[in-house]
Amino acid sequence: MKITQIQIDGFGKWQSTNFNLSPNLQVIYGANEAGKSTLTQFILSVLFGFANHSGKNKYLQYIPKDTASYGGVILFEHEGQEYRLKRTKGKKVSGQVEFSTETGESLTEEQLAQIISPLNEELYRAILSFSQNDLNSIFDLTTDEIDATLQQMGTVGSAQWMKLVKNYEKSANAIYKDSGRVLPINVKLQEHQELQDRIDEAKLDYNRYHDLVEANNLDSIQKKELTKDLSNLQTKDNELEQLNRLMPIYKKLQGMGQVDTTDFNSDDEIKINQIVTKENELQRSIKQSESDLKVIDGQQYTSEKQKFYFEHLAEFEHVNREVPKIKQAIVSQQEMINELQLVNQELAKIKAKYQEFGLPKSLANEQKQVLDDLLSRKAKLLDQQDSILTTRSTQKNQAADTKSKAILFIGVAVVGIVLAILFTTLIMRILGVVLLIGGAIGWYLDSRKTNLSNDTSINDGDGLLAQVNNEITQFGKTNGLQDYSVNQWSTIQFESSQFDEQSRQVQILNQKLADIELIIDTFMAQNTELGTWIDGDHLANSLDKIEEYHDEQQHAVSLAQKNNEKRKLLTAQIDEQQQRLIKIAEDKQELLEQVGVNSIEEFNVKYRDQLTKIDMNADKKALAGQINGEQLTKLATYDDVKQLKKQLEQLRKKTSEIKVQRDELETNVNRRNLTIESIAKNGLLSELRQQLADLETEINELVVEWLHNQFASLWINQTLQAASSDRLPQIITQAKRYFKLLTDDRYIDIVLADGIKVMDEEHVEFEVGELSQGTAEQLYVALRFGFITVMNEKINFPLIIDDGFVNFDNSRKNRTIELLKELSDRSQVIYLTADDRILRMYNSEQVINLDEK
Amino acid sequence: MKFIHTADLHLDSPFLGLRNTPTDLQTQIMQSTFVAFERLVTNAIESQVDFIVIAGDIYDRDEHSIQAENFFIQQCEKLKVHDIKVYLSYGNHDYQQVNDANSLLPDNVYVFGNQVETKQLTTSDGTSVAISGFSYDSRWITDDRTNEYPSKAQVDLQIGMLHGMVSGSKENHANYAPFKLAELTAKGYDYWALGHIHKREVLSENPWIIYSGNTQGRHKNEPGEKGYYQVELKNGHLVPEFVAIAPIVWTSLSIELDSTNTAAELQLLLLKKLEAQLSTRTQLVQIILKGDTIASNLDDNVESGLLLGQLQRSIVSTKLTTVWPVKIKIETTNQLPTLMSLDQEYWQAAAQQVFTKTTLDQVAEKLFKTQFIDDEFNNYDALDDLKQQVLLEFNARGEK
Repeated sequence: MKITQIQIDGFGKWQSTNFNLSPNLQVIYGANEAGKSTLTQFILSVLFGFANHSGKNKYLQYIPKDTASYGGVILFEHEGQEYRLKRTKGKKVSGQVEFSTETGESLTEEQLAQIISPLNEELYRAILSFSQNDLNSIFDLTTDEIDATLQQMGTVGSAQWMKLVKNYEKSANAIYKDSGRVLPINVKLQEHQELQDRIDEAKLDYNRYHDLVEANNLDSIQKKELTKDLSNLQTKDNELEQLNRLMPIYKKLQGMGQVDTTDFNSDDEIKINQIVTKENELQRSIKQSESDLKVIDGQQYTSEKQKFYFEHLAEFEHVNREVPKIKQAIVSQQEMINELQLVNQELAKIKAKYQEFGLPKSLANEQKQVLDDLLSRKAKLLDQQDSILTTRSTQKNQAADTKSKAILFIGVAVVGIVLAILFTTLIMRILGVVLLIGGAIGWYLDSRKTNLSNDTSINDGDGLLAQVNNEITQFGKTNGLQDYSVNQWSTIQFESSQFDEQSRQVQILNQKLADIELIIDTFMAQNTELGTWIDGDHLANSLDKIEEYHDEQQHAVSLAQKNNEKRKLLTAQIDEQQQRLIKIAEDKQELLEQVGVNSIEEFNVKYRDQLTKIDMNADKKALAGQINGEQLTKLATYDDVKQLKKQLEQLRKKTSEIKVQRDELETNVNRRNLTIESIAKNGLLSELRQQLADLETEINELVVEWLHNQFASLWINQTLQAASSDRLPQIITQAKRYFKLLTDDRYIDIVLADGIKVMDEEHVEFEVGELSQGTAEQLYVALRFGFITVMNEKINFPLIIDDGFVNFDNSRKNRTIELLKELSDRSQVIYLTADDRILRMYNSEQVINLDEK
Repeated sequence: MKFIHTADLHLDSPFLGLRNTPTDLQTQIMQSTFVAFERLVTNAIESQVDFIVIAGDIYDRDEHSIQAENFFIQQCEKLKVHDIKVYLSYGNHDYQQVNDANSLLPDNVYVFGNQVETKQLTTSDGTSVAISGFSYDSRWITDDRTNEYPSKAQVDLQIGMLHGMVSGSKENHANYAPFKLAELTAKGYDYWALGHIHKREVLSENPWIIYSGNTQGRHKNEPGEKGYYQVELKNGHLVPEFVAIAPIVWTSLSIELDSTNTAAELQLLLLKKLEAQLSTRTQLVQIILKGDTIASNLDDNVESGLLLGQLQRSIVSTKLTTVWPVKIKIETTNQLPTLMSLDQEYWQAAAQQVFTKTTLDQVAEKLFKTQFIDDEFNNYDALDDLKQQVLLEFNARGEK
């Protein structure tokens, strides 16, 4: 590639500036700050892209401060073809590219990349740029280092690589050294060891754990065996315990013989019992009857009175029948006495009333009629006198009075009839008759008087009346009524007839009384014998006592009768039962014979015996049922209970011993389990292990870094050596010529053997260290250009040398420029310098003077 | 007939590649291998499987973890209560001399002896099953043991248990009972329950030859869901189904970068992406930054762990610890830095010479005496990684 033209639109201090470049050597002069570096950067930026703004690169951007346009155009020739490359500010930091052929045919960025590849700015700088800085760095090196540098000159960018190697080595050594103590990996490894120790320590728990688990397993096995033993022992214990329980039964069984029990059957017993029961019942019944009989016989008379009554039973019956009649008689007697008394009193009363003139005789019925007529005539007359005047009401009253009197008399008569009919007692009947008669008489008399007065009330006037009155007076004299007023005559007449009547009645009463007394006396006379037990002071009382006594004895009588009947019954019953008893005795005897015993007692004894035997057999059977054959066999092996118990005791002792053992094991197992659990729960080991893993991660990361540094350094060294040893001969071939040129033929050869040596014109070899500083510099420049020549054969890019040889003296500089000229035969060389001597060496056509731009 | 095939429980083994883990997450991590197996046991009980086969590496014998052993015994006791049998063979991590006397395990657990043996059972539905397997008696078993396995017996189903590695794979796995697929197939078994490889894989479908993988991933190279296979006999065919149980999952998050991303921007972006990745499972996330070129200061931030630290601190402050970034890695397209491109053949030749085990051994001889460093770096993968890293570094430097 050869750059033919540079057109700067805007880049740093450059604006709208064009340069045409020589295809071979192009010298560009510019004083300091003239823009040489800016120009160099412009070329590189347009070819490879604008620098980004990061880090120190931003100083390479050269974005113009006073113009909007950034970038420009480079025209170049490559493999016989002309190209135009424009780079301006774009979206990308590297800028907007316009790439085309000379004829304006547009090309892609890829096509550009193909032309440029594999170069980039860095690589370009590393290979093809040559600056004072590079040279200066040589002077800072020791000769050994220069030697090494020279040796590794065969590689692209070897200086940078060398620097990197140093960095890598430094970094690696900061991380780890085999013999280090404070370096990170060394420290961490130490930590690792400590952690490992702690883990190992924690691991001891594992052994403890295992011991515990194993011990537990062993114990568990043993425990299992013991539990099995215990189970066996328990079985044995149960068996023995059972045997122990059975032993008394067994013994009892042994003591029991077999008993024959076929004498009686239960029917026999029932029959016998039935018959005995019947017999007993009968006997008891007979006894009862007999005792009842005795009781009845014992019930004789309770008193003398009763006895007397029973002795005079017939008389008493008779008397008793008489008593009501006598009683009636006594009542009648009394009534009559009373009536008699009453009548006598009446009589006396009437007698007393008529003491002075005596009681006139009672009128015969005809007399009475006469009187009545007289009186009635008189009354009639009187009435006629007063008829209309006054007496009408009086007459009525009189009539009413007469009527009421009549009713009274009729009432009395009626009462008398009733009494006479209803009452059987003599006295009442008499009284009834009396009343009847009295009533009838009263009514008759009364009605006569009324008639009489009615009759006499003839209204004949006073004459008549006086006649009547005479007649009446006459009548009075005739009939002894003269001493009494006519008004009294009626009353007297009544009382007189009454007196007569009552006197007659006294006669009757006395007659009746005599009759009754006869009856009573007769009764008394008849019963004087019975009177001895009647201490009545009065006849009526006596009668009551008779009744009372009779009634009293009536109960006894009926009892005695009942007893008699009962006795009869009982006697019959006893007889009948005796008969049955005899029959039963026969039956019993027959049954006893049947059964084969002589008496009930014998049967009972024998039967009880048999029952006992049956019970015994049942017991035996029950006992035998509790023991099975095997047990029986086993029980037979023991002499006695003691022996068995002893064995049982021994067994139990053993059982409890084993239990203790087992419990101990269990306690141990449990205790260990607790420990095991606590150990197992202890996560320390896991934690430590994870910590260890983390630490290892950390260390490994450091190791990666360390290895990485180590290998980077190794790789670079290896590459540099390989490339040098391969390329160096070519480079040296070139460099020999350049060195000869630069040293003005003082040195004719560079020898590569065991380091770099140079040979002078007299074929004397020198090691680099033996060379002067200037010669060493020239050697470096020769080798450097040798390298560039070799490398550029591949890429053939313009060589940009920015003020490379400032410190060179004139002659050396001239020789250097000669060298550049020679180089520019092969590829374009752009030489930028601030050395104004160049202006004298070249004409203005050959030199671009920036100061003039 | 149902059974569970699992392997490589690695109970109580630590997670690798972690730093600055928050306490709660740390607790979760320490519990994770237990939780995973507990889930398996719970599922086994719930789905009433007949038995469980465990093809080795229940725990690391050398770790002497009481927790692990005690836990395992307890879980087996739990299974015993539900009448679930456990058939286990020990692997290279829990190798031991098997004899019945020293077993601390309950009697529902059948441990395969150090020689191949076959155990038989009849499941609740009357299926007769034979299971063949053996336990490691030492850390390494270099012989192919498949010839010791009998051919299928007179049973309905036969299962082979094998803790090992297909032969012909990476050299160091030849120490683990190497076998050939054809050998396994030739036995006529119905199912081969493999263990040892932590990445689950179905090697064959007829018969089934399956690595169940481990139940909980423990470092970034064991990513994704982890669990076990539940195998069920359906219509005369065994149907294996993977069941995920790992409470913590290792995942990765890739981010495309260009040269202009700054560390601060990146941190925000990562936070956002992590948040978007939240799920019910706790995730340990490896972040991979991808791009042609990466700004060198970003590279520095990543390399120094600064970015990760800042990200982790942000995560802690936002309490999003269920997505925990554990590593940030830069992966660029494998391209030589421009500075080297001219001398490419020299760089490559030099790399051939430098990135060798010999050089590695020389350089890190003393460090490699420490086992975990040796384990981590003394291998070809590490060497490759190293080369990539250095290249990346050069690349980043080249941009300066």
